Amino acid sequence: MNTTRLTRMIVAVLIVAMLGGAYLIVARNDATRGAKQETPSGFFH
Amino acid sequence: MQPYARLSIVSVVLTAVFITVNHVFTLGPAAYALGAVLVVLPVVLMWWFTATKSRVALAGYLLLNLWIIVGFGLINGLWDGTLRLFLGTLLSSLSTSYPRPLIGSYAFEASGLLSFIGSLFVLYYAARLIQAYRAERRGAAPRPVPARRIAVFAVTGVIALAATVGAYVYSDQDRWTAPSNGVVKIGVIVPTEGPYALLGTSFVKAVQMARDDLKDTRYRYELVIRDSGPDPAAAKAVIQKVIQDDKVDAIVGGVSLIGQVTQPLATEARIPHTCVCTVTSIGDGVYNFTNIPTPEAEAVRWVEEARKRGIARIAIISQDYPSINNHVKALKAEVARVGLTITYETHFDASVTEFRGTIAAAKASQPDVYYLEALNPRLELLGQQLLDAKIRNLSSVVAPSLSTQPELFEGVWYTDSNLRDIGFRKRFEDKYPGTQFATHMMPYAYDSFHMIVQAFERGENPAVYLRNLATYDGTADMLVKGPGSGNFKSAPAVWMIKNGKPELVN
Repeated sequence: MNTTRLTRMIVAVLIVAMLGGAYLIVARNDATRGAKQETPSGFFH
Repeated sequence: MQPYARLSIVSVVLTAVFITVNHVFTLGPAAYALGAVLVVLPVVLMWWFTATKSRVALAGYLLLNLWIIVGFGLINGLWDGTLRLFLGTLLSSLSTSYPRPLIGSYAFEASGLLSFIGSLFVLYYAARLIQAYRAERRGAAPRPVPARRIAVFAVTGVIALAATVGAYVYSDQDRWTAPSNGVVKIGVIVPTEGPYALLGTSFVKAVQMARDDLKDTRYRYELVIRDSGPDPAAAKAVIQKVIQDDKVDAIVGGVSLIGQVTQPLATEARIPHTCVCTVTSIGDGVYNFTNIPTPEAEAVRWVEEARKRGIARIAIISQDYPSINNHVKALKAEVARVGLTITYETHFDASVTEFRGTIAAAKASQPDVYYLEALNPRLELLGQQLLDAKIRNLSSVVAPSLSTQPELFEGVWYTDSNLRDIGFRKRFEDKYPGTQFATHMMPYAYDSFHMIVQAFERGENPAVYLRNLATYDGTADMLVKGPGSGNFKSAPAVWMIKNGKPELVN
């Protein structure tokens, strides 16, 4: 494997890792926060 | 030069697409105009350059590249996107002095990352284009980049990245800063007119009383009291003015509609905002915290008391109003959970003044109790007509305590916030004679102010202090907050109108 090909592979792996990591963080955040939309409830609150 | 010109324009166009997608979430349709500029201008300039070898065209093209690299790649994609998402999340998981970052949808976050990654390709191919252009002008083939220069670039890149990460770690932390001139400014933002006049005015007075009760404090606490008005759209300008012009150090607010507007503004300003609000999502546990029993907690306490009183059949008569509807929804869920029966249910419009037919229909369903919830003046009209019909087995959540004619609800039981320090009400009424005491809001306004004061007196960043606060020995109750939560919870209590005044039953 030449240097150019190795560099391209490393770059591709890094990009996929970043996108995958972002996916996991977003998924965990959605699970923690919940997706429900609230409207004011209680008395005037 | 042609291959690099082609690769350069391809990287610019692809990055422009990522930038456009990312900005749709913040700019809306205006992002497409931005995208058009970022695609059309470089394409035109590159076409001009390749056709004429114009230096002006190349300079213009490279300037656009610079805009994409610095503005959208490094500032937007790296600092605001990649570092916030990865480093911000990591730091907040290690220490509460770092705020948990706001995280958007995957499309937003991924397009932010790709804007940054794309900008690196734009940078790389712009450099290769310049190299090829220079070689062509010399009439020679581009020389390979010497290994030493590559090493210098790599080391410079690593140092720059480390410096950027260090700068982010430093700037992301919420640190204690002593208030300038020893004065802490606390914004008190609630609507004090229209339907919120009673609650808002009492709220402000409770905070004023909390400030007046301070003794021997290290700092002086100044209240910046502003009427947000009842309209959330108009409230935004008021809140922004309080943050930017009055430069408040914290905000104590009330009413969810206004709290929802305050939340992002407090986050942006990185100041704590406590809200006496039932919309729990306002309390993000980062800069925003809610402080009041939830409607679900009220419903649980109400049903518990109803069962204790042998109530099995309930008729619900309530005004059709968003907040009341949601409250009734929580009650019905709890009623269903424990197996009680709703014998009758109606939600009347705000224009209704005649309730005799409704009362007769509810009575025919033979309920053990009539559950009422309405706003003034419908509440009083309904109360009067129930009194005329000699129906006294009434109950509610909070409503009777806000009635302008509590005598109409003599003997009625209801749930409302607890008031552990019962002397608080007397002190409030002595200090502000003629001001109606709203149990479910005043103690929380008082406690919210004192929580913020505690943070400053202890020399802690107030947002970090609130994030770490698990319990607070409050006026209404022991307030409890779970780790990472933004909701201080407390248990409601059962009240009754006796001699025209609310009185704790237990």
